[in-house]
This record gives sequence, C-alpha cells and structure tokens, in this order.
Amino acid sequence: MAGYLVRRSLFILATLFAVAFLAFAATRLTPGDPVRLMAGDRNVAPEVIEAWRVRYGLDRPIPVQFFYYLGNALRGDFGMSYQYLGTPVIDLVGPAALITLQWEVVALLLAIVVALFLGVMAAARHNTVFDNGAMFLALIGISLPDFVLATLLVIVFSLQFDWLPVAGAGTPAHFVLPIVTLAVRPCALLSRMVRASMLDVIREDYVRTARAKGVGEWHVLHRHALGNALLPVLTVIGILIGRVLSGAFIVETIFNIPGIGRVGVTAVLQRDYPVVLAATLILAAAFIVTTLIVDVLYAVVDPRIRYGSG
Amino acid sequence: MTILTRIVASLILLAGLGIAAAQPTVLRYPITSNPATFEPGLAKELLTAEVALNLHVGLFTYDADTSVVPYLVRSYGVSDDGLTYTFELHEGATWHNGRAIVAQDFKLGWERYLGASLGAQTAGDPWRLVVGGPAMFAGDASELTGVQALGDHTLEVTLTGPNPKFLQELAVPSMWVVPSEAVVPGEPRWVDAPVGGGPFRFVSWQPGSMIVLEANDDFFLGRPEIDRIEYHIVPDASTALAQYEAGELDVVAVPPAALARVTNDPRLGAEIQYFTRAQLQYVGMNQSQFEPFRDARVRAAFFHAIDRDTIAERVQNGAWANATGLVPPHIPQHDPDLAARPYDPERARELLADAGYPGGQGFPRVEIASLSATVGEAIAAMLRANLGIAVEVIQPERGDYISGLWSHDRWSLFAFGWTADTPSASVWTYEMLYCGLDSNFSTYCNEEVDRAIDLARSHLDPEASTAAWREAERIAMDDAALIPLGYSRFIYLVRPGIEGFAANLFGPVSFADVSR
Repeated sequence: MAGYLVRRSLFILATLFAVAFLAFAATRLTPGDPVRLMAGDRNVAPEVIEAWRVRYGLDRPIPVQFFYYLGNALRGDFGMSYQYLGTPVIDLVGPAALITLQWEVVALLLAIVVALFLGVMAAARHNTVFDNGAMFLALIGISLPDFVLATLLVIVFSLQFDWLPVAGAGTPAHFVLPIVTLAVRPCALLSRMVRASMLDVIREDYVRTARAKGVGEWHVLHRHALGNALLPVLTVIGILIGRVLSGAFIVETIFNIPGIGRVGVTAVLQRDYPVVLAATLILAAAFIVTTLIVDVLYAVVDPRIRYGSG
Repeated sequence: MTILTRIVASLILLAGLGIAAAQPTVLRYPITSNPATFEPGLAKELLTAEVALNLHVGLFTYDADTSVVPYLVRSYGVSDDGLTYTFELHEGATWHNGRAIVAQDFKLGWERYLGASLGAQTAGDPWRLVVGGPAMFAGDASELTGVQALGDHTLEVTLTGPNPKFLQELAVPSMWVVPSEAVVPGEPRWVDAPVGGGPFRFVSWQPGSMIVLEANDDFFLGRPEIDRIEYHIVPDASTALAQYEAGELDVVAVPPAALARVTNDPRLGAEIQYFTRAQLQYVGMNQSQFEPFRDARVRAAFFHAIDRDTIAERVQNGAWANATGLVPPHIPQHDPDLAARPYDPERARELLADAGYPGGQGFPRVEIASLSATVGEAIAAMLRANLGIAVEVIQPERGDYISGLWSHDRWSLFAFGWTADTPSASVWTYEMLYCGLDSNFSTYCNEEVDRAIDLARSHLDPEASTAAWREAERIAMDDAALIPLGYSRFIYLVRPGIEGFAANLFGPVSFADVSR
C-alpha cells in the first residue's frame, strides 16, 4: 500500500506540472493584454502602461516567466494579483476555495445520501410505481442543465414565493438553492446507477441464500446486497466529483457565491493570470486527491482488492 | 393567567420596538466586482472611484451637477499669472484614525502616487505642469518641489505653465490622498485596514462578497444620514436586478436588455431614475485597417446608412439619448447647434457610388466588431440593406476587444463607448481624433482638426477655447470622422423611501446626503 501511495504521489506531481504548464500556456496564448485591461476603457499614459508591464514582469520572455512562476509556486507563493493592487493571490483564492469546499461537500453528500435511498428503494420495489416514478424524475434531473434548473429555482422560490434569497453568500439560506442545483444531476445519475447495481446483486445466489435462511429483507439489502453493489457506485462517485468541481464555475456565477469558481471566471475575464493559474492548480489538485481517496476506498469496500508494491 | 399573558405580550412588543428603534439604516448597493484598490490615487477603473467617493476626501469634488466645488478647501486664490495656487483647508477635518488632516498630507500623498513603483493612473497627466512633477515621475527627483505646505492648513502649488483644467483635475478622486501612516511606503498596500477622511469609514471587506462602510461621526461637514453602506458585489447585472426585485438591494442599475420590461412594469416603472452620463457611444472606422475608410465619401455613406435613432430607442430601449456630435450635453463645450447627418439611405447610396462602389459593387467585405451582439447586428443589417455591401458581425471577448482597439490592427469597423474622467471636450475631440494618439482607435488624421484642437488646448480664455473645440468638432463631423450613436444615460431603480440618491455625469455622487 505504501509503495502504491508513493508511486501515485509522483504521478500527482507530474500531473500538476502538466496542468501548470497548460494553464500557463493558455493564459499567455489567449488574446487580450492584462495591462490594457487594467486601464479599462480610460486613457492611460503610455509610460504608465509600460511601468505596469515591468512591475508585473510581463516584459520578460514567456519561458522565463513560467519557470519564475513555478519556482515561486513551489514555495507556496502564487504572486500578487494583477487586478487587486497589493493583494497576494493566496488571499483571494484561499478563502474562496474554502467556501467552495464547504458548500460543494454538502451538495455531494446530499446527492449521495438521496441517491442511495432512492436507488435502493427503487431496486427493492422493482417495477412498481415508486420505482418508475423515481427513475422518471431521475431522467428529468439528468437532462436539466444547471443553468436552467438554477433559473427555475430562483423564479419559483425567490421571486414568486420569496422564501429564499436570489443570490449572495451572507447566510446559510443563501446556499440552499445552489446546493440543490448542484446536487440534482449527480443525484439523478447516481440513483440510477445504485438501482442498476443493486438489481444485479439482488439476483446473485448469495442473496437468494440469505433470503432462504430467513434473514429479514432490510438486513438482506443493507448487509448483503448494498456492500457489494457499492463498488461500481464508487467509480461513478469519483467521476462525479470532477463534475461537481467544474459545476462550481456555473453555479457560483449564477448565485454569486464568492467561491473559487467565480473567482476563476472573473480572473479569466480580467486576464488576472496569477489568479487564473492558482485557481486552476487548486481545482486540479482537489480532483486528483479525491480520485486517489476513491481508489483507496476501493480496497476498504472490497477486501479482494489489494494494492501491491510491484 | 390572562395577566401573565398580557405582561409577556407587552414585553415582547417592547422588545420588538426597541429592536426596531436600534435598527441601523442601511443602504444596500451593488457593484460589479471587487474594487481594484481602496486607495483613491491608484484607481484604474470607475468602480474604485465609486467607493472612494464615500470613503475618502479631497481638496475639491464634483457635485450632482458635475460642477467643481471646494471640499476640504475653505478658500483659495490664484496668482495673476495663473501659476500659483494657494489653498486654505478646513481646520476641523480629521482622518478616520483621529488625526487632523493637514496640508503636508497632500504633499506626501501626491509624492507617493508619483513614485515609480506605484504606477498610479494619475501619475502622468495632472503633473505635467506642476513644478517638479515630470522630474519626479521620471524618477529623477524624490521631492515634489512645486507643492509646499505653508503651515498646517495652507497648501501652495506652483505650476510651470497655466492649466485651465487644474481644479477639475483636483476634483477627480484619483487626486485625493490618504494619511501616509496608514499605507506601506512604495507599495500599494495598507498597513492595516483602509483609512480615509470621507463621510463613511471602512468596516470590512469580504472579497467577492461585500464591502461595509459605516457613518463617520466626526465628518467635518456633519455625520451622514444613513448608518451603513453595504456594497454587495454582484458581477451579473440581471442577478442584481432580480435581487432588487426580491428586496435584497436598494438601488440597482438597469441593464439595457431589461429596460423595456422594467419600464412597462407598473411597480418598477415608477421607481426608475434617469441621469445623464459623460459617455459617447459611437461607431469607429479604422482607416489603417480598412483602406476604403480613407475616403470621406465612404465614411459619410456609412454615416447616412445607419438609423441611429432606431438603435438608441429600439435596440437600446432608451438607454442612449440621440447623439448630435462628439461632446455630450452638460459638458461646457457641448455644441447645442450641431446637427448630425440624418438617416438618409438615398444619400448614402449616392455617396458610395461617387466613391466608386455603385450599389455596393466591388466593396470589400467588412466586419463590425461589437461587444453588444444586438447593436452589432442592427448596424450590420442597416448597412447591408442600405448600401448593398457584405457585413459580418463579430462579438469579441472584452479583453481581446480592448487590446485590439489599442493596437489599431484588429477591428475595421467597431462599436464602442468612450467615457470621460473630466468634463471637457478634450476627452472626445482630442483623445479620439488627434493625429497619432493611441486612443485614436480610428487612426483618423486631419490637419485642420488638429490645428483647431491645438488652438483649443492652448487658449486660456474659456470662450475662445470653447469656440475652437466646437470648430474642431464641426470639421470632424463634416468629415464623418466617426459615427456617434448615442449619449449613454445612467438608469437606476431606487427603492421608494430612499431620498437624495443622485448621479452626476461620472456616476453616483457620495451617499453623504442619502436618507431613508
């Protein structure tokens, strides 16, 4: 196991390097001059424009800029924001990442819990009204894009009934609609997955044996079936985490949550390169680490899986 | 039992009244992003200035009519040669940290902005005529010799040449200063939290979420009416509008796309307030990028072919007022007698034929770049129908678009807005049309126009100067240098019960007089 983790960690470093390189290249290849954007649509003296270019090191050759950046980033210094004067990037991105982490974890847990419940119940009551109804709802959930769902939720719950705030992040109530928006699609996908996986397992011999022994139905589902049905589900959860992370960009922008998604979108539009890079690296790292956790969980859920050292 | 119930009920009622009485009055106001800085002199965008107006204080300011009025200055005098200004400051004014505001603060504050490492936006222009200004900006001097504090409340500024715009420049928030003990020398950072001297003091900033200011009890012109300002950071205009409709914001700028709906809504329609804005929306024709635009007849044909009234009224839903020239109304040099070329498809076709393209034949395909797809499409449709030429619309991303404008080598035909930072014709006529300027996105060059502009810029007599500005504008319009589309307006929804909200040509003024 230890050897496996070491190898995976090396892979993680290589992947992060590749991400940093691609993100850096993307910022430099995108048309649009950050210094010009700082000036906005106002007339700034050419000498001032040049002074800004020198201050941010944008006058140096691009490869030099990259290795300079990488060296600092390795020491935990992501540089200063181009847009917000005197503000270290980490002060912008750090708190934003924490906000995103909090509400997205809630959304993901909500999706998993509801999906497990719906999926198991649908499988247990296979081909009943409950099964068909739940799976029909799931189909709608999968088909609805985040931005459509978000708009519908705002119109109904904020503008029509005035129960929940439209946007912002001041109180827990502000997070209800974003969490629901983000949870619906993973939940729908996952519940179908759980149901299918459960149906497979329920037909296995050992489940029939358990039932024949006279084990209670709840115990059969819970102890004998669910554990074995979880393995494929775990794979899907790993993929869904990536989807939830990228959902932050859209959902946080719509609901105006100052998380890493919105910070990233704003930074891209302002050509605030250091912020774009830091946000990209943090999101990439989050995805890679959670994937690793999921892989380790395989071994926990299924004792047959062992990660050898060879 | 009943007595007990009554006592409890009265207690609850009393508590409720007490809470209601202690409830501070708050103004919840949206801004589109974090301000780039809380330091007024480092302002690079209008947003910083908006917050600065409430947090900071300067020698002069613009009132709701965009007139320059003394702020910290109690009285002032100018020498006969126009080179020496003496300002007497109010004596009771203090910074938010309690220290008195003195003349030396301005000397130190301006020296800070001029230091090369800060690269303040204002560092170039207002200093070119102050003694020692250019030397310090170039890094050859460490003192701004033309500015001297003659005592705690007397400030003297010496110029190298007369500058009719000097007081106007001092009234822009980017010329306001902060106490030097509150900032890190040579770096755009605060020692602790932002400190100003304005009607509101800094309380907190949650990046991306909210900025809170509270009333400054010691403000030298008296405490503001409202207790707090909450700047809600809302990048998306339609989200802000929805928040206003749901009661989460007190003031909101109406996005053009929603204007028709808002105007026709019986409740919202009554809450609309219009303010003139110092911004010209125009179509530029880049001569170095698209050869045919060097011919004045082609430019005039394009001018006549665009139905500008329809765009202002139907596409922009009245967010723009019809433009007659380059310089918007309420700017002193605005020419009320100027009449723009009318919409005249017949004349447009004639002019194009004269230029060698009868019925649009042989005219190269042209692209119009516009940040607004609707405006771009409308103009393209008019040009196609009226001139018979091939026009394509491109909608670049904002950053790409602006870079392309400044580099002059991307967009042939483009729709853009040019905004003033001082109320002077110079902003439009000079900055947009003077030969060889970077901000001359059309790469327009006309000796006659340049000569009139030179005259206008050098005249000390305001009337002669105004006449020269109008002359330059008239020549340029006759020459179809560019096509003015409209003068923008600020359009706000203001919640009933809020009094005193006002915007001048640059945007909302300080909230010191707002009450609710």
